[in-house]
Amino acid sequence: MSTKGADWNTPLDTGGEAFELLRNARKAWIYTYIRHNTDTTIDDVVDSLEIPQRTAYDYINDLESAGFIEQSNEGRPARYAAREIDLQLVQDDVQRQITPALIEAIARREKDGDIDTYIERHGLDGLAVALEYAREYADGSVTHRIMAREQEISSLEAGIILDALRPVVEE
Amino acid sequence: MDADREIVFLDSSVLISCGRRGSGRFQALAREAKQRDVVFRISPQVYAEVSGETAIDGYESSDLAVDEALREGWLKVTESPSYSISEVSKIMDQSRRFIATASDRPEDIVEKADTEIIGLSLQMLIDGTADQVTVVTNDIPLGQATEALIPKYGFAADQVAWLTGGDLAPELDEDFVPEFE
Repeated sequence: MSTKGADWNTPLDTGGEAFELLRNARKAWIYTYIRHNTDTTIDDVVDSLEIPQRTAYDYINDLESAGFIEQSNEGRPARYAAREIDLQLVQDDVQRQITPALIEAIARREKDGDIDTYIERHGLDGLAVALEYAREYADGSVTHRIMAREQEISSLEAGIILDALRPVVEE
Repeated sequence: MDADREIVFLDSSVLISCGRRGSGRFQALAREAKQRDVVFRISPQVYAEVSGETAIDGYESSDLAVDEALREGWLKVTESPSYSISEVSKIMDQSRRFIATASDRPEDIVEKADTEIIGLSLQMLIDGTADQVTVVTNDIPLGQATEALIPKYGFAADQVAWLTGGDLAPELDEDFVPEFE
C-alpha cells in the first residue's frame, strides 16, 4: 500500500478484544519472538524478554486462546509456533490491516524508547503510517524529508522513526 | 588523486542513525574521517535539522553529538550553495524533479535539504575545491540523484559517489538489532 493519499483518521486503538495484542507490547513481543523462533518454549520467552514465568504463561495462554500461536509439539515442555496474522479492521468505511510487521513494530517499543515515544506522540495509527513509510524508504521511493513534510513532523523525528523501523521492514 | 581533494557530505539520515546507536557510532564516523584524512561536511540545512536546538522531547536519540563533532573538528558546516552559479541552480531543480519522480510525488514535496547537498557537491567540483565528492546518505532517492545527475555536468562517474552509512563504515550497520533472532 502506498502512503500517498492514505486516510488514517480513525484510530486503531478503538478496536475490540482482538486488539489486545496491539495494546500490550509484551504480548506483541512474545508473538513476534515465537514467529521468529519456531518451536519456542516458555522458558525461551522468559529468558528473552526477562519477565516472570507466571506472566509468560498467562500471555502465552491468551495468545493461544486468541489463535495467534499454537502448540507445535505434543509433549512437554510445550513448544509454540506463530500463526500468520492478517486481520482486517473495517470501521466507518476505513479499512485497516493488522499484520505481523505492525505487531513487531509495537513489540519493539518494549526495548526501543524511540518507538515508544513515537506511539505516545502519534498513536498506533501514526505507527502504522510510519511503517508504510518505512517500507517505501527501504524500497527507495521516499526520503525521510518527504515523510516529514507529508506527516507534518520534523525531519529529525521522521529520520528517527524510519531508522527505528528499519529492522522490521528489512527482514 | 590526493585524498585531501575528496569532499564527503554527510546527510542527516546517517547522523540520526548514528545517534540512535549511541556515541560509539559518532566515534566510528570520527575515525573514518581521520582515516580518509578529510573533514566531513554538512550543509546548512542538514545542520538545522540535526543541531541541538531541534531536539525533540522524549526521543532518546534526538540530541545528536553533532555540535561535539563540530568542536572536535572532524565535521564542519558549509556555506549555502551559490545560486548565482547557473549549473548549481539547474542541478538543484533537476534533483527536485528526480526525487519527486522516484517518489511518485509532486515536486513541491521535495525538501530543499535534499537538493542543497547535490547543489553543493556540483559547486565544489566546478570551483575546484574537490576532485571527488562523496555523499553519504541512507535516503536512496537522494543517493541515486547524486550519482545520476552530477556526471551530466562533465564530470567522470568516478568523481562522484553515493554511500550509505553502512557502506562508509561497516560498523555503522553493526548491532542493527535483530532482536528476535
